[in-house]
Amino acid sequence: MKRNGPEENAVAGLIAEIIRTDHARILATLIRLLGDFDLAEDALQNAVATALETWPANGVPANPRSWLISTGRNKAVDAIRKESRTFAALYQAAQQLPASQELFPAFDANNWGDDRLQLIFTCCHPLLSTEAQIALTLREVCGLTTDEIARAFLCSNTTIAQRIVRAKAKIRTKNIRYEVPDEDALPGRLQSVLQITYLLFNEGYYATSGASLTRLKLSAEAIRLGRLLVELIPEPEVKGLLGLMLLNEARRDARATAEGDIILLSDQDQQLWDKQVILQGIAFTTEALSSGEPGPITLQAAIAATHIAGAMSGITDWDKIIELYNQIAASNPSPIVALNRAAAISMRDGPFAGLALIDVMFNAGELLGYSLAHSTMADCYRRLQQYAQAKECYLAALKHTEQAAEQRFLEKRIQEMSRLLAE
Amino acid sequence: MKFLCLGYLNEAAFSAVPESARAEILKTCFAQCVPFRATGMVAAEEGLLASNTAKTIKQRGGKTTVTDGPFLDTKEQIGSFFIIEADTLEQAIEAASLHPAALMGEEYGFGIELRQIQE
Repeated sequence: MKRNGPEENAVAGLIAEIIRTDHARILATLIRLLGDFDLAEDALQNAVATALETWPANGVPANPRSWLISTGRNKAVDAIRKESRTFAALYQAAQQLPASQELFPAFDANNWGDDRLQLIFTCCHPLLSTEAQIALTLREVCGLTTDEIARAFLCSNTTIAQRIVRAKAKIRTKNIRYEVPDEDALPGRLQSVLQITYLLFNEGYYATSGASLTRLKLSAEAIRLGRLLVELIPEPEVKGLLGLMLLNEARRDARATAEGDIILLSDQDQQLWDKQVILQGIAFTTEALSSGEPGPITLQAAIAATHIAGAMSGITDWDKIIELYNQIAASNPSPIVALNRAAAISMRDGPFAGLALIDVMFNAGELLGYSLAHSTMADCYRRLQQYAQAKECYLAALKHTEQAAEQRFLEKRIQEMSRLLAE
Repeated sequence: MKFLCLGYLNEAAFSAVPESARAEILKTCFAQCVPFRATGMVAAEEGLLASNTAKTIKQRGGKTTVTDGPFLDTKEQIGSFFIIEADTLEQAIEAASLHPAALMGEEYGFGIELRQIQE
């Protein structure tokens, strides 16, 4: 058996380091050149294998990253020539193409931009299902293995692998282009990129199932993606999203007990808050707010920032929070926004005001199956010391949640109400 | 279990495609072969020359005759074949469904016929 010499080991280490830091960027460029995920992944694997073989003897090229890209691209050209016999009719036609119309454009190392953005837009293409968008983004942009994605979403490896294979086939056969959408389409498409990023974050932040370490990784990846997006598209709403994620992430360790029980913001141990991250979150949120009309995500970040400031000072600015909810409701009305606004109003104007607003929604048939609507109502009754109604509402809330931590929280409240009623 | 899979296409419709578009289709086909082969279930895979180069050999009037052209005179002709090795029919269909002819080319009459090989 061949033993690796020091040269081989040094080269292997260098390649591992390049892959660790630049995998997504190299892959994104190969995808641009070859126009395909699978071709690009194959090409990169081939290029890495060739590097491992040739670098120890020939020396490491001056620009190893560019070398990997052009070698990968050339390998794909060779492979397509060799293997195209299975598409004989096609290949005969393609062979007659003039040299200027090569199948794949050449790589220009002097003009190597960042191709990750078009990769993100492709992974979050609206023709793909949300599940497919998430899996593809994690695999291709964040570089997670299918195994890691499967563990994070409690799916089998096969399910995730098939989801990715199908998504790629769809991109290929529906001729979805690897491109950043033009100005007209950009706002809408950016919206779905932001949504996927936030969903990814929440998946890692709120879901209590799944291995916690992998969950942590999902949130970290979402934040990394958020930072990349801010770098590549410094739009206000992109900064708002990063701000919102950071403001939540900063309180990760404080928001639940070791047993996974929920701790409300006002009861959280502020020693456990990461003040550095909070400051970063506030800075991005402020920047997002200062530029023109803030979007719904920026407004949510502003609400989170106001809550945090309130908890730190002991006085929450409910006027401001209600105003922010009014702004969200004006552009993106939804029953959930209306409920949050009602909860804030109940804090400013008293429980009766909150109850009246939620009552109106229930009577309109809205939010009846939404656990938080019932528990918000229960909180209002509890504050009015009407414990029987409060208990009834907590029971209704319990009926509508599947989340174990929320169930435990509500059960505790129900016991508390029973105790108060017995007194 | 082994399955012979026959890839069909409408040669007339396909030859009407402009050359530049053919290059695109070739790229797509080639790319789709990566996940197809990654199933590890593809035992053999070949492409065929156009059906006008086919020879048909049969007995006519007690004599062996050889004529030019395919056995069946149909719009869709066999353009490629491959063999799938799988444990079940479902697995074989799943693998064959990843072949480009199963995923694209509706306008060129692409399609696959899957036949189990007698053991």
